[in-house]
Amino acid sequence: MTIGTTNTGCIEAREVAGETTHFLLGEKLRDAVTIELRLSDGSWLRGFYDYRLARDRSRVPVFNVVYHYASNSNAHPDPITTVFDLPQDAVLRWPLPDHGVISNPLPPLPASGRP
Amino acid sequence: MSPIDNDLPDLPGLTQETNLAPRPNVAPAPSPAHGSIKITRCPDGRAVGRVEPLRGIMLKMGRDAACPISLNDPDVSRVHAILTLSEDGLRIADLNSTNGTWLNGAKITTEVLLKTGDTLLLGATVLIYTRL
Repeated sequence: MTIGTTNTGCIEAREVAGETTHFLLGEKLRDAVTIELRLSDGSWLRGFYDYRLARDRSRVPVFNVVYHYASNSNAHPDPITTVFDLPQDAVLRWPLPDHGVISNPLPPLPASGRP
Repeated sequence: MSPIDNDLPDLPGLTQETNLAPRPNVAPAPSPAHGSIKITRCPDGRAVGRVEPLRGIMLKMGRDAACPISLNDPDVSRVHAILTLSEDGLRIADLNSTNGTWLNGAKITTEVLLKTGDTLLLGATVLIYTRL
């Protein structure tokens, strides 16, 4: 089966300056960057990329998912995070059209609004 | 009766004993948390899972122990970023840190509003924000 749009791809590992570096669609994956994982039902699971060090000190790409579950009490629960290794053939995509520099997402606060 | 006693005003229902009794040492109640951040990765691994409740209007994050959110990470600047509570929520701004502040994988160059589930990268430390 081919899943395919131009904004999906698999993680590619390259050696850069003696370190394993992971790329998606030709772009370096930065630590903690938001990406999405394609599930078998066609939906996308949002999470963030990270890596772990294997015993041979190579970098293994991992996928972090954060769950903010609904609490049945007045307490504010801490988020649950799950982490798993990303299979080499996992289909991924960038979730946002612009995942570069956030330069001006907000209007500035009025001077009087600052404490 | 001592001269001091004579200087005390006559207050109804207030005896001199209660007026002179030492006050109980009660700490003021902390302000309620408006959010939290959870550390999911740090260089030495010891702080992984640590949850920091966010209280107050302005909170600095950095390597300096004086920062309310102190991060033991050599790649984090001494005073790295600042969280500011505003009417619409919590905002983060980088404080000219050496390695920058990254939100969901994007480098921030101005103040940005945070939402639940946002992932912050400071140095090699990864944190998840939750709004309460």
